Amino acid sequence: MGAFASLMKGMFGSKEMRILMVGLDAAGKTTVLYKLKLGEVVTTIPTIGFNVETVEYKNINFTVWDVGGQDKIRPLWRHYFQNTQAVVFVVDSNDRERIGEAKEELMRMLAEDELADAKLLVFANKQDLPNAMNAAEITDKLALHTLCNRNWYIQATCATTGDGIYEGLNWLAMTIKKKK
Amino acid sequence: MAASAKRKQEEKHLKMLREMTSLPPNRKCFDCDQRGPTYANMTVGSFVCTSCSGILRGLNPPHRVKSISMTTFTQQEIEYLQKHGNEVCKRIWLSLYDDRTTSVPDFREPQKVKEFLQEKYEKKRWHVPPEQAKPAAPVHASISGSSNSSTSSTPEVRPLKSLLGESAPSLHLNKNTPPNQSPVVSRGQSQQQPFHDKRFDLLSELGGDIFAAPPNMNAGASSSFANFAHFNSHTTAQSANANANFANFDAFGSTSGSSGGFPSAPQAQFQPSNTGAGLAAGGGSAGVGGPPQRQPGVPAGCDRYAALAELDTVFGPSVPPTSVYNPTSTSQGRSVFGTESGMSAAQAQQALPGMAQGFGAQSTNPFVAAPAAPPTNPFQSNGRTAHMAAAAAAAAAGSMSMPAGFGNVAAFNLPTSFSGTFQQPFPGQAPFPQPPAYPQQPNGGGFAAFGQAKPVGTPFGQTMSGPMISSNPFLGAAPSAQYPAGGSSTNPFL
Repeated sequence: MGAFASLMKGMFGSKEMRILMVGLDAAGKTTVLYKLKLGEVVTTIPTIGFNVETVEYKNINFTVWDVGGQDKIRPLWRHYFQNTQAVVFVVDSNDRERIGEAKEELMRMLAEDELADAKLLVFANKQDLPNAMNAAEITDKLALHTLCNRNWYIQATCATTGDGIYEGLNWLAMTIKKKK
Repeated sequence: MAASAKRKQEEKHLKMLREMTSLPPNRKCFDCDQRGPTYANMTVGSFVCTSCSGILRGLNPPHRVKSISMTTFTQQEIEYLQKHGNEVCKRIWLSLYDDRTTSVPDFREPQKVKEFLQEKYEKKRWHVPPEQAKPAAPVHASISGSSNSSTSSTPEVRPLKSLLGESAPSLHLNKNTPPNQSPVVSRGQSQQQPFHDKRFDLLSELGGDIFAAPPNMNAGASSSFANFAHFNSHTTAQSANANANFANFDAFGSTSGSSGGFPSAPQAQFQPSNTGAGLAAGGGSAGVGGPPQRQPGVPAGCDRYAALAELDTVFGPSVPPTSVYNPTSTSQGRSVFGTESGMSAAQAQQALPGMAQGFGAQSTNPFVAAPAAPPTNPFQSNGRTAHMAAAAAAAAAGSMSMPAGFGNVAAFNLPTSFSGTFQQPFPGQAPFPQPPAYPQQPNGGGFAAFGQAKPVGTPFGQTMSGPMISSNPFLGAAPSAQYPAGGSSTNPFL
């Protein structure tokens, strides 16, 4: 019964996907979230705690959790890991100084058991800034190629214009549909 | 071992940070003058408030901001902040800024603050290179030491200044320093002064001895209320949020309604006028600053209160005219108004620029409109003033409890309510006359916000009104207690 219901839902109904969006502070997570949700750019203040929104795209209900990224509250990320199907890791492409820090946080997070099956989508955000690193450079700096057994994808984005965000969601939608 | 050393280091840094933020120049946001900075701008080395930190990181190029309490600082960063701070930053970034001709945008208008910061940092309109600006330090320090007691420079900063103060085109400095120094003070005064004067005149007209004392308390109170004013102001940032603001007043109206005591007619009168007050106080959409905004509010307020005054003549006969000025001999409601809330009214009105705009204008106006009413009315309207101001304070406090919902942005940022924002208001809030209210705010604001889990911009302001009504501690605590009393003796609004 349960299996049948879920099958039917899979075929006809909309799917659910729980997404955790993290990254260093000021990477643009909240801006991405509200660009997705509202389609507009909002002036945000640093997130303490989290924001959560549901966004429907391609018949999938994405529940996106945007968790504050300041260093003392990063340990709180793990409380959101459970049942997370995909992690969106947002990187400030313009912040060359802290890309190493971003890598450390990413690797530390991916080492957690709870995220063993989670997809990884990296947003190389703030591509509009003149000094921004491109996706290839970010891939390199984050050592994404060293990830094994991980389904990952990197997408260059600019949250303020919305460029790339839906391409990223598209990838998520495809991976979830492929899976079941 | 290493971890404990690290922790010790962090504690040391935090302590140093706290010391830095307790220095007078650093006690206000460098970019909007709001009290109690919570963030450090690592790009320029200043201390700023949460909403400005949000704006700053959206500048081009973005500034790096760090929460004082939620990030760790390296030794270099601490030193950098010690070297800079708001005092030094002012000489660099606002060196050419003349406060007397141009005015700093009101922090209640985020869009204006944003534009101001773009001018300030992107266009560097008032910027001078640090090499030129810094030599001013010793001169400036001595000036500020002698002329302005509030800006004592700090031991940490001074040696650096003197070190740097070698190649000094002193002419340049002397020209620059006075305007730099005075504005902050004069700005603060110019905002408060009108209200103070106004209030005082009215009081002296009435010969209200009771109120003679309260104005003195303003000095202390102003500090605490600045915070409230800020939050209240944010409300106006977006129409949705403005709604939330009104929600407060709706709550105010309905609570008072449910507490019985007065007929529905005055309430109906009252609510529209509240909306007016909200608009006057905020006027975010109108986009105008202080005094001009009051004007539109005035006539409306007059009319409405004139109507109320008439009502009062109907309900008022029970009031012995002679006892008006003597709080102890009047009815319970009176004495409450007269003494306690009278003070808070004075505080709120004068200390809260934001409130004062809306409420000061409205509540003081009834004096003008009062002639139709019996001689007791002036005082009665004072009582109401007290109430409105108290309500204003309540509203402000209410909004403060939901920093998330109220910041222009903050709407998108619910959980911010947790630590970030609470931390600052705390010291400021201490002097607030109704302390029990505070503990409730986090619950009301923070968790209600949490429960919503829908921090969407526009709808949010409205949904927020739900929690506001129930959770606004001021309505539950003080006013509702006073209302019935007031209502039983006289029309509570008058």
